Amino acid sequence: MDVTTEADATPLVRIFAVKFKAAVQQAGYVSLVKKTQGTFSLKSKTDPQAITVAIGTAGMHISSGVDKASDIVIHIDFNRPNERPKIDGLLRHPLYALAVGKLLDFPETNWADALKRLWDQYKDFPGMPDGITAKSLDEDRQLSVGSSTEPVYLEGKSSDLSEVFSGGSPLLQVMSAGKIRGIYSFQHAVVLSDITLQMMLGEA
Amino acid sequence: MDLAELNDWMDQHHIAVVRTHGTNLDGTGLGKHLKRDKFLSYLPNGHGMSDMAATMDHSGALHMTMWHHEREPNLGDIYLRPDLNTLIWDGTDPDLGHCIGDLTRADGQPLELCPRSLLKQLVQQMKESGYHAKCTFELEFYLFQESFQDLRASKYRQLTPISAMQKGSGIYNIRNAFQVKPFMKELTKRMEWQGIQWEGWNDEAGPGQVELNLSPLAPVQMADTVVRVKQMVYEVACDLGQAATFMANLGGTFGSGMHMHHSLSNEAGESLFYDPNSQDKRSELMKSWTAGIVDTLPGAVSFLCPTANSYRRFKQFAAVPMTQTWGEDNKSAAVRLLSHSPSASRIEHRLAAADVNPYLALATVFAGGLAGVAENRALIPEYSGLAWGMPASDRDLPTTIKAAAEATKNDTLLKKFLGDSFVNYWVKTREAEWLAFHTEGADATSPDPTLWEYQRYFEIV
Repeated sequence: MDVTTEADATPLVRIFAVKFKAAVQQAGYVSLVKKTQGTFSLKSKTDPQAITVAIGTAGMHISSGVDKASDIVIHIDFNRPNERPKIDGLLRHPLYALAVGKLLDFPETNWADALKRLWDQYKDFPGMPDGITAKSLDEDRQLSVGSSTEPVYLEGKSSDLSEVFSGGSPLLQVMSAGKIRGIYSFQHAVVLSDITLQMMLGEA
Repeated sequence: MDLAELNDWMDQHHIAVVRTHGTNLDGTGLGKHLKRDKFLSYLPNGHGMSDMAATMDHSGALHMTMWHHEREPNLGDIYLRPDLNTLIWDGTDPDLGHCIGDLTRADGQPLELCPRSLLKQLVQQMKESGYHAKCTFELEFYLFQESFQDLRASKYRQLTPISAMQKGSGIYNIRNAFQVKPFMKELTKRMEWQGIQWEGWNDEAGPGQVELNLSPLAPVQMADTVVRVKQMVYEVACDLGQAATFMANLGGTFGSGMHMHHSLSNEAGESLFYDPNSQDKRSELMKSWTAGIVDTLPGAVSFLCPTANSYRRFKQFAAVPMTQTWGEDNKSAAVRLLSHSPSASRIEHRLAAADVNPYLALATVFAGGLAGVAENRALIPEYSGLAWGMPASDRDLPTTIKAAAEATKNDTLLKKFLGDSFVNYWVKTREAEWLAFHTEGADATSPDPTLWEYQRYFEIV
């Protein structure tokens, strides 16, 4: 299934394009998308950011702003995605809103699988550490990739590790929020933040 | 100047404190106020500063998603090495001196991320080819009745231009000029105290907008002068309880630009651009030099229009070039040539926004010129019509910070002369600026600058 964006797309358009592209790799998600044909918009409650997702038979197209053709407009805080959203058009299109809600509940990524994929793809990126050791505090499980001589060590909850390793947020942003802690050099943290930012924007 | 001469000069001018002044990638002035003996004790290497000095954005946030091989692995010190040729007396503050410097590594070597050092390298390459440049800038800025504090408190909703006409003011209007004269008189007086030569100033197209013309100088001295004058404009505004800004666009039709003029001569001072035997009076050097500048225009946009606000200036018929064009005395083209006499033969580059870093601006234009000569590039046909309102074409310049960064990333000519690692780092800084613009509260669809832009740029650029 094709996921396309407008030219010179905004960060939010790119971020959602990455999420949708990853999700449509799963057959179950594709059938969900096919059942959700129509147009919906996501609008930030806190700033002017907004996107419109148009789903047709050929695939989905993401553009910036709120399209007048949108069947529903979902007002959310992108920094607090778990907060209850306000939905315009809910009474007119309740079933469609329900389907969109399911669509936006993206499949979870296992943090260990995400770390392995990140390492395989970027181990030769300039400035990368020789290895990364990550520990999930809630699973009490540790995984090392690359050399174990002097690796970057990162620990946090599985969901936060997954968020970073799958390119949901740049590493230092999550570390600044105190969700991940570690033993590392500034250089390695910056390089890993660069990589995770590129993944987030689909530029990797 | 040796240490004894330096002490004598400081005695004569009663210098007790020296303010050092370096410039980072975004053009922000950075330095310390040092007691005289401390300043002298740091010579010749200068004083240490955190790596942050070279690697922070307009908001003061550290570059956290881009690495450069010369960055300190754990935020160690870089140095600000004074250029004693730039030491001057403040004039207004009786015991203060100013000294501009270069950002260096701990071993004294120039930092690749130092814009002034980069320009010096380009100028050296030009000298080795026998090219001696003279340049000048036209500085445009807006003046307001309110103080910076008042504007901050009102969230920039109350902006009263210092102008006889508050809307649609025309240009060269001497009643508008009379309104800004007290400010400009104070500014030009202080410039002269510091030995800064100027040619004139006039009322510009926007209400409260002024253009100041500086006298031509060698490139590094010219860029030094621009950063000093921009600082001085800020200080005069503070002292008069008013506000001034070099923001590229404040929402009206006319933004503020910084047109650059330059010419090349040989060591004897004879024009290398003028050829009396050529039908168009342009030398072959001028043609290939200009060809390189024109060919690198798309890639140069991100350097010349560095902020998200710079791109609000791109409007048809608003005195901003929109296309990859050049023309003889054509002010709608990006590159305007003036070829009619040996003394006036020069190139006016009309793309830069007022928020540009002058060191990077000149370095980028010279990189284009050097590339043009190195590859003996042929000049694309002259555009003799009005280059606004033209049909869309592949000659359209990028008009968003992200598209401009992409063009820079793909410009192999600029990379050849500015360096791969420098250009790649710069591109990432612009991508970070784009990301901050979109995700921290600004609005690309708004016709006017957003509060985020005012708070990020108004007082700093």
